Amino acid sequence: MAQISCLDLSLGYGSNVIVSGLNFSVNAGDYLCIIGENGSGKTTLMKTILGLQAPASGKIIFGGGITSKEIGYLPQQTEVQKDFPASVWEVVLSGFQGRCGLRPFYNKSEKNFARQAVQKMGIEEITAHCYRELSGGQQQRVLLARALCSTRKIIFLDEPVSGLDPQASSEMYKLIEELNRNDGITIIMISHDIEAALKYSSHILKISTSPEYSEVKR
Amino acid sequence: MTELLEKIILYWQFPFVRNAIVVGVLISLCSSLLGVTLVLNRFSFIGDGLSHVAFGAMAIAAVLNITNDMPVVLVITVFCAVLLLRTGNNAVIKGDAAVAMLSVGSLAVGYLLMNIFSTSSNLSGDVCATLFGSTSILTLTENEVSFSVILSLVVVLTFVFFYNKIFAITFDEDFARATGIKADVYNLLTAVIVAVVIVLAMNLVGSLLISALIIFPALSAMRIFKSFKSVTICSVIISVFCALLGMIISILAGTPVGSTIVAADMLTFGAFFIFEKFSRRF
Amino acid sequence: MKKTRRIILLFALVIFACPSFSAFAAQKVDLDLTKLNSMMTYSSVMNILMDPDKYLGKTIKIQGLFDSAQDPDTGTDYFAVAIMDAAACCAMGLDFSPKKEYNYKFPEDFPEIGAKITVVGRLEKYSEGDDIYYQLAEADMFK
Repeated sequence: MAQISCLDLSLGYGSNVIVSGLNFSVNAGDYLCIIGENGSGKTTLMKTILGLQAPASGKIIFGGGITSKEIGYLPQQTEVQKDFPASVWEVVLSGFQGRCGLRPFYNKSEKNFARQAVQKMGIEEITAHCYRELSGGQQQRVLLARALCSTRKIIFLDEPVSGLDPQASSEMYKLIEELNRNDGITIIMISHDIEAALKYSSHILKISTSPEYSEVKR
Repeated sequence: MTELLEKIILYWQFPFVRNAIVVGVLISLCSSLLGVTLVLNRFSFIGDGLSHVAFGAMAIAAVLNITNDMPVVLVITVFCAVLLLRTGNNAVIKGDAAVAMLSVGSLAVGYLLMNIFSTSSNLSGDVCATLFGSTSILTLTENEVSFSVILSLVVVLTFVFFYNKIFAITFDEDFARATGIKADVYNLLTAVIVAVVIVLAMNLVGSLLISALIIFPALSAMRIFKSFKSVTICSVIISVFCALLGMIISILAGTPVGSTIVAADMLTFGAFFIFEKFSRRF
Repeated sequence: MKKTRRIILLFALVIFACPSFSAFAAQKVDLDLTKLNSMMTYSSVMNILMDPDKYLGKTIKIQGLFDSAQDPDTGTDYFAVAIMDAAACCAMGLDFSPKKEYNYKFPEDFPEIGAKITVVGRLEKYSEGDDIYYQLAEADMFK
């Protein structure tokens, strides 16, 4: 059963439609890479699927138990965040907020899970460090750990390696691939890196005036 | 030294001094809690803007001859806070321009109304007192004291209860929304609380100085502390300490209360700033 | 505007022309505002005016500027001691009337308008017609 199906989706605001005719679905365990030129609408597509923006027309259907409380998201960082006074631990824990409802504090199982997520991302040493003092690669790993805390099923990543040096980039890709392969988490990733897309993903969606959705054959 | 103690004991006899200290501490507590969120959301000047709106509301209340003006002022200020803060990233007129428009407009309209309709014998005096708060905290009515105490406690409890959500939304609103947090509701709640705190704080430091009460403790704390929790706690401690110190000094020396508190906040910021620069070297 | 504030704006000061000024009868002072700085004095007076019933019967010592006004209808003279706030932009005052036994006559026995004066009196209520007024009654004045 498809986790996400987009039927005849058009993106944009008001009369300004940037992409139309999107038809594709994502199954559990897929690794989808969304590529396209700058401004083609990749981030808009992601935001529309996540419910942060309304589609111009068309439908998005969720299945397989995917609700907004079941997704993980790694958005592009804002300037405010890069300078934010928060400890790594606080940032990672905040991934649970969506599921907390009105409960004001985190319980033990959430904290345990957060510890595991931190270990997976290799950031145990820096949990007490201030977020703004970390390198770009470390910050991205913290955000990935946070995304893990809010989902067991699917993670959306918006250009997760932008601004990272080659080593940090490849570490990031490795971590993402492990999540997909070992934990069965569906990955939907926006990337400029065609090479990485061809190397890691199972499906590629190219956003342009005539979008193309294809499976990657290895 | 004993002379100082004698003086303090003398002043402590007055009920309005005791009330001032209690209410002042509670107000500074509330404003510092909000300060961290507001500064990080780049809304540092909201204090100024909303306090001018409150001034305009007071003018309207005075013109309509309403003696207990706090409810009217609160309602109007809350309404404008919601207007300014709720729209967030999708505002037609962006944050700072909207704040400026509402702020300056209210100030002008308020002063105009007071000049045309006021029955006060000393208009400039009333305006001056509202803007600078030299003695407002020392002349609270019993009602105002109870009101302030109750509202402050409500604000503190709300902040504590929703602390983690406020953090999540301040750090990353998109993520919060995408993962199922009703960010709009919490933004609305924050807007209401900000308005309440500002109306209360006008009694302590006056309209023009409220921004200082909100931003200085937060900025000082952010120089040195590394987690959101420690920044918040430090901000509260700084704010309460400076408010107490400022009030005591102004009562003893006869200086205006608002300016003295802000001066204390500024000195503290300077101290934290220097400390941070030095600690970098070692 | 509260009624008591309007009342207070009837300023009058009792001027002491007599040298026996200094030989005032010692009254036990409950509230000595002369020990406070100007901002605190101003606040204290404002608090008294906001809730005068709380201070009824208390003997208050206050220092300020003498002022006087005459009711055009009745010809009665009223006296008050005026307090300015620290920035000297606002003023308020307390009505007072001197001890009856001194039998002071205005303006001879009273200071000049605007002169510095200290007044000691007991806060009391009185009514004229339908209005209630507060004043420092049986007051002593001295420089």
